Order: sequence, then structure tokens, then C-alpha cells
Amino acid sequence: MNILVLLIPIAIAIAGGFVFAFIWATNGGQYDDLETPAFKMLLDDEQIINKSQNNKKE
Amino acid sequence: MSTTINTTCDHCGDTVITPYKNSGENANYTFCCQGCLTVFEIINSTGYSKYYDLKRGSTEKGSPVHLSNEKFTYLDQPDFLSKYAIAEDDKFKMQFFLEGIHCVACLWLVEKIPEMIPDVLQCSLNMGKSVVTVEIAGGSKFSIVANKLNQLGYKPHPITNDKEQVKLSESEDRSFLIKIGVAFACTGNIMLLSISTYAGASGPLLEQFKWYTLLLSMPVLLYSAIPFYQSAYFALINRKLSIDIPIVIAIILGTLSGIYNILTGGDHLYFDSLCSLIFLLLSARFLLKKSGQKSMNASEIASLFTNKVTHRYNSILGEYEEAHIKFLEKGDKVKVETNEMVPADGLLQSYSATLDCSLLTGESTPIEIKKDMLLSSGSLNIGPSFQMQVNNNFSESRLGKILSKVEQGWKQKSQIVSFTDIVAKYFVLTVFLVAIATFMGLYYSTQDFSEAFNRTLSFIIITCPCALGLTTPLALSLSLGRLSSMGIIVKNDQTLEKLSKAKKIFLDKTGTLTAGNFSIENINYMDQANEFHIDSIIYHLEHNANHPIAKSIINSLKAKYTGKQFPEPLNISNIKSITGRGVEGISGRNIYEIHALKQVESSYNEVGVFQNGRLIAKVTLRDKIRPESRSFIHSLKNAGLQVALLSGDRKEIVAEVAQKLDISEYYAEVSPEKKSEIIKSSPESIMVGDGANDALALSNSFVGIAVKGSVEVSLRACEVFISKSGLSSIRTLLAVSHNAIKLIKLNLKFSICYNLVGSVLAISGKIDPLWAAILMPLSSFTVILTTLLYGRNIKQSIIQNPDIDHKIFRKLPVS
Repeated sequence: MNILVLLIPIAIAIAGGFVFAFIWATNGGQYDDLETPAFKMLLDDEQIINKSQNNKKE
Repeated sequence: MSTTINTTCDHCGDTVITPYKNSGENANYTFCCQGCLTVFEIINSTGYSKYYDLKRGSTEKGSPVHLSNEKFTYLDQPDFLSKYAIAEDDKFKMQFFLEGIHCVACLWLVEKIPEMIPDVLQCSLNMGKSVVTVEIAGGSKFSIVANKLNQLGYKPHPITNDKEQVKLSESEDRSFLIKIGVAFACTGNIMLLSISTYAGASGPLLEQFKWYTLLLSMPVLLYSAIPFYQSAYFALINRKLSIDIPIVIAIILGTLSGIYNILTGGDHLYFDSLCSLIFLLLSARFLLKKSGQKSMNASEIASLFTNKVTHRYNSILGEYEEAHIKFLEKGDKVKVETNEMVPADGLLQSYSATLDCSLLTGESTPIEIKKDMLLSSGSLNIGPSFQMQVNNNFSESRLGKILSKVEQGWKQKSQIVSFTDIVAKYFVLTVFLVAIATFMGLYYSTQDFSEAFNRTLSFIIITCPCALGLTTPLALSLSLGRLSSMGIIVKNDQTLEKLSKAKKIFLDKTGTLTAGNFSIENINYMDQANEFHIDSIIYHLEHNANHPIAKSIINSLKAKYTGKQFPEPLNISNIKSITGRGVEGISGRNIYEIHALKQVESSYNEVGVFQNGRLIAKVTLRDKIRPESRSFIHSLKNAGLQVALLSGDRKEIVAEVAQKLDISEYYAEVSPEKKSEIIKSSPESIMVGDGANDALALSNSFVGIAVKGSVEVSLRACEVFISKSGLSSIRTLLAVSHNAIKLIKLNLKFSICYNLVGSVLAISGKIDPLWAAILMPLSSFTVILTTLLYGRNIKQSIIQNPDIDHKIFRKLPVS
């Protein structure tokens, strides 16, 4: 069981890594809008928007 | 025109009453209105018909489109841009609230705008808020984008960009979220370690685990729990007791005793319980904050719905251009079209004008104004368009003055001591008295200081009112969320508690209990045999007229002949409308004429139909009481509320309405100031109203409810805004608030039971950290469970009974 002395700090360090990833993501604005992305992923990308080729006017 | 009932509109999915048909290739589609038809054509002709494929998969229903005639050119004016747009490098950003966003298809279509208009760099839509952020290249115009959005059926309303404010609330939200995340991560790890100590870890390993739990709980106690320390501190310096004070005491004592026990080798560590408590409480508060924010946003946005665009004369160009009313200045010449609001106080420059001032005075009789007379902002032009000169800036106008009074009243609004805070007060007192008694008793009986101290401490920690702290925000946020999904926007969470306490309700007449516009009460035909023929004549003469009376006649006729062949095809030519008089037209050898007979009463109108000068029919029009008003009043009384009617309209009319609806207490011909005095003199009363004449009363009432169609001032003055028409929403609101408070009380009883068991165990010395770890989350989970069950209950009863008589409403206490 002595290996726990080593394993637990490693586990906590990994957990800390995830906490920092979470903080980074939050500060980057990933959790600002929680509703729209859920809809967006339902839409298929049918074409890459190329503005110069697209001249559909009203 | 064929009339098939029970078909749905191919654009919005609404039930079609009078179908609009497309000509040409799309002739087999049916629409509910011209707006939907136009949008359908535009979407199909530009090759975006995938919109309808996407929409088919969605269960959300749209609503009929009202196309606006605005050109949105005011968006391009420099003074407007400086306030509303954000300039970044060579780009401009502006945010719009869009009406009519409802499903994924809308998202798809709106985000396709950069494809449709080359100068638009980006369009990103936030579905939750219905707000689109448009980014355009420098030199191009926002009006083009706004027009496109309008053509697609989403009327855009620009939003002021208070950059600082937005940034602040954004960073607040983020830091709150991080606090929750940190608390969750640490609590999870502490629990893993604690399980092994409970399971019987021993020796150096146990020592090590204890230190790890201490280490891991530090970020939670020192960082995540900051909001509790702050609010407890503010409560203390304001000499108030809040639920956070006992929570903070439990946290601090628990931490200190934990550290002491680690150092001295004791067993009583409560870090796991404390951290999970902090995590749960934080999450519940975050939810409440989010749902509150959502409704706050919605109410701010709703205030944009009033017409804010006017036509200002530009002397350089020599023509009228669109302008935002905020930017009107003294001396500006303005044109007010039919059905537009007078944007500012000023003098009439045209020969005459017909105005509906019911928003300001509550009286429904139209007022005739002659040249050079004063016009008040907020009155509605119901006659032909006229020109006026602006006399005052908005802040000096009558409406502006009411607004500033409203804001004063709003600041002085009575804050109630929330129910949970009252409970917390007694709770804290009891806990401390019991704690002191326990300590003294144990110390004198056993003479064992550390044992007495430990037991007292565990008592204080175990009685920490976590359920109390959890249940209130959870129940409130659930209720607010459900209400806002039904179009009932509640501005703050205290309102629900206030609503459940209210004893009296004041109702405004015009627009609340009555429809707010005229409809045909009776047509008296001089020649009975020709009823259908005469109706057809009226229809043909009036259906192109712009006068509100004409419109209400047409609507009533349409309703009368729903599902039947109407009107009879007649050839009436030379239809002329004579301002201030009526319409006339020629059919064959006959001259037909419709004009007003003598006006008898203010919310009562008589119109005559003449054939070659001979009266052939008399049409009686009235501002009718809404059909559901009676049952609404009845159910309010059943719920134990006193009902009173408050109106600026004439006494006879108010008395008649009151008698019909069985209301014994009514006030007629009251000015806005008088209204607010009546409200002030009757504490704990709800006010329901819409017009600017209600705004003062709304802001002085215990709870103000503004109903659909309200003017901006009322929206600012109220606590609740109901965006759906109909009175059933008010019932739902009352029912939900009563039930939310009932649930909070129920949960309170639960948590007191748990606490009693816990305290008995603690004082008798049976409690150890393991018991605390079981008892505390258990009480939290009971509370969460009952709250969630309650949420499901509201949802189901609303699905089963979408409109009237919610199941929950019958559970209201009857006094």
C-alpha cells in the first residue's frame, strides 16, 4: 500500500489539471451561451461559405 | 375565396381562419396572413427553402408574421451608430433583439445572412435571448441587414450596447461558474478520501488522508465560499439576519474544529460535509441567478417593442427620414402616420388630427385636435397622418415626467423581509441558545471539557440550515423559469413571495378586462330582408379604410361569417374616404355612405349606413368585456382576493362593467396621480394595468403586473410583465407563486425534522463525521427531489390545460 504515497499526489495533480482546463475554458467564453450550440450541432455543413462566389441578392 | 377551417399556415403553423393563397407555382400552399405569405415567397425564391425542412422536425410553433413598413434607415445615422454600435478596427458590431425566433430553422436562416448580403461578415444568434450579433464591414449599412431580417419575418430591435455593463455581468457569471467548478472538483476528491477513512483506514495512511482532505478543502473554503462570506458580512453591517449567517458560522466552526482535530489527532473532521454543502448551495444560487437574469433581459427587451421610430423632416434633403425618438430635438418637424404614437410633446402643424389618448388618460373617446394645439407624447394617431413640431425633449414631456416619477416610486418600493430570512432569525437564536445550554449542561454533568465542546460543535454543524438555503433558490428558479416559458416575465424572485401574500387586486378596465378596441355589438337593419346584402356593402366600403372603427367593423364582420361565403360580390366604385366624416361609394345607380352618427358615450359608438341619403342600417360598436373576464374575477374571489376596478374612464361605463363582472368596489374618472394614491392607501395589493396612466400606480403598488400591449413606462414600473394576451396568465402567475411558497414551507418542515434528529444525536454524543456525511446530504437530496417533483407537476398541469383553470390553481387556499 505504500505506493499510495506516490499515487495520491499524482491523482490530485491530474485533477488539478482538469480544474485548470475548466477555468481556461470558462474564461475563454465557452460557457457563455449554453443554448445555441445545442441547436447548431444539429445543422449540417452543406457548403463552405465563400463570400466572393456567393452573389445571391435579395 | 374558399374557407376551410382547421388548416394550418404553411409558414408559421398557426391555425388559419381566413386563408391567404399564393398565386402562380406555389398556389397549393395556405397562409394565415399576408406577412407569412410574403416571407414564404422570399425564402423560397432566394433558395433557402431548406428552412421548412428543418422546421418540420421541430415541435416549437412559430407565430404569424407582422411585416413592418420601417425602412430602418435610422440605423445608419451617425448619432445612432455612436450609441448602439461597437466599432472594432474596420468592423462594426450591433446587437438586435429579434421577434419571432423559435426553433433551429430560425437559427439556420439567420446565420445564413452573411451568404445573402456580401458585406455582412458574421451573424451569430443567441437562441436563449433571441439576440443576434451582426458584424459588418466598415462602409456598409446596418439598414440593409435589418431590412433583410424584417423580410424574413424577424423584426429587429437594436439594443443599446453598454459595453462596461455587459463585460461586468459576463465576468461575474464566469467567476461564479469557476467557483462552482472548483468546489465540485475538490468535493469529489475529498469524498473519495473520506470514504476510505470511514471504511477504516488507519495508521500513517489515515494521517496522510486527513492532511489531503484539509488541503483539498482549502480552495473550497477560501475561494468558492466567498459569496457566502460577502453576503453574511453585508447582512451583519446592515443589522439584518440572513440565511447566510448560520451557514457561515457552521463553515467557520467546522473548519476550525477540523484543523484543531487534525493537529491534536482527533477524529471529528467535517470537511466532506462542508464542501458538498458549499457546492450544492452555490449551484442552487447560480440557477436562481441565471433564471433571474433571463427574465431581466426579456423585460428590458420587451420595452423595445413599442414603436420608437418616427419620420423627421430633414431640411437639407427636403424630405422625411426615419429617426429614433431618443434623438429628437426641440424644433424638429415630425410626421406622424396613422396608428403611430406621437413621439414627443409638440404643436400640431396640420389642419387637424384625431388622437386616442387612452394610454395617458384611460379614456377611450378619440380626441380631435386643431392646428397649433398641444399634442402629448404617448397618444396614438388614429386619423390620417399629420405634421407636428417638437416642443420639448423627451425628458421634459408629459410621458417623460411620468417616467421619472415612476423611477422614484420604483426606488422607494417596499422590500419585504423574505420568509426564509425570518425563519433564519429564529433559527439562529434557537441554535445558539441550545448550543450554550448543551455545552453548560454537559460540562457541569461530565466535567469533560473536550467532550462537551465536541458535542456542541457537532450540534452546530449538523443543524446548519442547508436545506433552507437550498430549497428557496431552487423552488424560485424553477418557478421563474416555468413562468417565463409561458410568457410571464417576473423581474425578481421576491415578487413570487409578495404575490402569495397579497390580499387585494386592482384591475384596470380598458385593455385588461375589456378588449381595448371596439367591436360590433349590434347591427340594426332598417330593412331586415337585406341583412347579408347590407353587410356586404359595409364590407366593400370599409375594407380598405384605415380608420380603427372601420377595422373593427371588418374584423367583427369576418368573425360573423366565419366559414361562410362572404361577402357577396358587388361592384362598388369610386370609394372615397372623407376625413372626419366617413366613406362613400357608388354601386350602379345607388350612392352608399357610412358615417358616424352622434356619439352617445365614450366607449360606445354609432355608425349609420345610408343608401342615397336614406338610413338603411345602424351599427352599434362597443369596447366589449373580454369573454373570460367574468370567470377570471370569480376565480380571484375564490382565491380569497378582494377585487377592485380602477379606471380613468367615465363613471357610467365603469359602473356598468363593474356591475356586469360583479365587482362591488370601483373607482372611475381617476387621474394617474389619484390612482397611485388609492394604491398607496391599500397596502399589500396587486395592480394590473397597461397604459401610461397606470404606470405610477404600478410603481407604487405592492406588486405591479403589466399586461400585453403595455407602454414602455408601465413595463419599467412593473414587477411582472405578461407578454401573452388573456387573463389566464394572471391566474397561472398567482397559482405558481402560491405553490412555490407552499413548497418552500414544506421543504422547511422536512429540514427541521432532519435537524431535530441530528441535534438529538449530536447532543447525546452519538454523532460522528460519518453521521454528518449521511444526514446532511440526505436532507439536501430530499429537498431537491421534492422541488423537482414540483417542477414536473407544474409542467404537466400546463400541458394538460394549456389555457384555463390550471390544476394547481384549484389548490389555492380559499379563505
